[in-house]
Amino acid sequence: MNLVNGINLWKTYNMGEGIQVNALRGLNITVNEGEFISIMGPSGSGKSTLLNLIGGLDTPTKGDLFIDDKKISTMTEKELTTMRAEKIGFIFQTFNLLPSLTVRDNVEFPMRNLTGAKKMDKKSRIKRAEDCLEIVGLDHRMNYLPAKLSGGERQRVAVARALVNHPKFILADEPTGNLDSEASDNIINLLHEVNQEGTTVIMVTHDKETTKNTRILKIRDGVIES
Amino acid sequence: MFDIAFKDLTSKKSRTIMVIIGVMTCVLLIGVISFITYEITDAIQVDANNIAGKLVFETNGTGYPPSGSNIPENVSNQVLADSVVNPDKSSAIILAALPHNSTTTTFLMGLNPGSEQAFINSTQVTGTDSLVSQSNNSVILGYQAAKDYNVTVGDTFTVKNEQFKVVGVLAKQGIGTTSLQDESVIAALPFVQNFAQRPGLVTADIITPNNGVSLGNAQNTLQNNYGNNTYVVYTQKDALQSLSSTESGTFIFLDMIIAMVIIVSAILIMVVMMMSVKEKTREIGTMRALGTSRRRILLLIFYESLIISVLGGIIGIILIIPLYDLFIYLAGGGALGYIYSIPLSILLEVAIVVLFIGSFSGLIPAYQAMRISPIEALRYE
Repeated sequence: MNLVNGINLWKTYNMGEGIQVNALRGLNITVNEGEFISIMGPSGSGKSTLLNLIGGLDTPTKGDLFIDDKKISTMTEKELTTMRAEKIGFIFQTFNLLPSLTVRDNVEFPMRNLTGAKKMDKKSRIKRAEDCLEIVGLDHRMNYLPAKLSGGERQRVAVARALVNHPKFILADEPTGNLDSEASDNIINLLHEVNQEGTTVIMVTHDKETTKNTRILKIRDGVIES
Repeated sequence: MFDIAFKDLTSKKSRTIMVIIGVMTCVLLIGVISFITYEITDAIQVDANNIAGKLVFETNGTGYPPSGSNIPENVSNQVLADSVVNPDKSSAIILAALPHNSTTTTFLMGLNPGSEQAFINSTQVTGTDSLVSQSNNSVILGYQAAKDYNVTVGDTFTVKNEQFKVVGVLAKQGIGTTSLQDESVIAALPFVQNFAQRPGLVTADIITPNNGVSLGNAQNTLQNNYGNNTYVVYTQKDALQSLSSTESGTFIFLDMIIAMVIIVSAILIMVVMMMSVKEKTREIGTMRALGTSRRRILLLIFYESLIISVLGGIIGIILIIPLYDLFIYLAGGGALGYIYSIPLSILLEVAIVVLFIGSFSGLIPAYQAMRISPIEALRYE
């Protein structure tokens, strides 16, 4: 089943004074449930723009994008926010943990964004956060602030945070970009474990080493080459 | 989001403490100024209450207290002898300034012995409240006057080579700044006329109408019979108006200071919260990417400014009394512990101001935070 289906996607940025930049130029993409996708490409090729669209942070200028069978180009801001909370787990290159919250609170945070029937009480949220931290092997760091952790540990917290809401897929934007090779291997292994449990992973990367056992999509000049 | 707002604030302790101190200082200023206004208002009310149900006959245009008034004694006697006047509860008075070392003014108040109730009313007294059968230099002191001369019943004190013998001391009136009675040294009328070198003159008549005569009737009768555009008959309402207009400039000045303090306080929190939003752009972007709604981002910033205001407000309220005590003490108003409780009206005023500052100053930064685009924010370094 298609989890992401983008057809003839265009994204045009208006730079002012009549200058327009096409970041995506009729890009087509299909991601099936359970896949591990690696998106590669040079700077300015449209990787980040594509990730923003798939992540529901932006909408295409032209073309149709379906996420889990829902057309996102016609979604309201509120619907996009709900979709991000419920269906997508984000992992950033710079970790983006909330510095004033402990590791446990950081992982618990996305569950606060669930609404309606998916809303959870505090006890359940904490239990789930602790379970996810156990999965990434950081149950002994729950009460630490992010500043006290190494880069690799912070990214593992980010993986746990991405997992807590049982997302349909995880979007990882160069998750190993700021890590040494050992920490990098750990994170990639962790993402493969998560993928084997059934969660789809879409990863943007520059590092060929991290793309083993994944389907690689090469993007250049706003279109997918292969 | 309340707990996250709290954690955000505690993670930036120095800045949070500085802003709380800023708000606390503003609250202290507002509280102390409100206290001063409250006390002046209370003292005005007490002064006006002292002539409740009475009339004051005095020179036209002198207001209340009638310190600038001068009436020939024969005119005063005619007024007091009128059929609408109750002679037992009415009296001519003479006011003269009495020097001492304190910053407050003391009045030497001359009354006809036996008619002291016209001025003393129901104020509690230590010693006697009558000058009848007392020596010529006997005086009854108001609360503040006794403090100023540091005397009690049985003591004597000397001013301008004249010795005064204290036969009674009155309790303090109201809770506010001192009233005319608190600041008075009450003596026999002839003694004061002699001391002030104003023979044959009185300052005013304090008049209680006879039984069966209404205040309005007595006022009209006395005004028509003895007024002649030279004298005027004041009621309690007129006195209150006169007292309030005397202090209106002070009230406007104090209100202006309060308004300035509120504006400065609101701007202080607003600027700090705007800086905080700017610093947290990436965090807010992350929250938005993780599915936090705009409404909840707005609440986060709003709560932060509210927490700062409320904490500053609570500490400020707690410190109002000690600071006001110190203020009174430094102004020469007596020992620390002068006033023990904050009136509810001041508490409510400060609470409303704190909530207003907290919510109003948080609105613009919160709106700013709510508008942050997650894409721009995640790119922000």
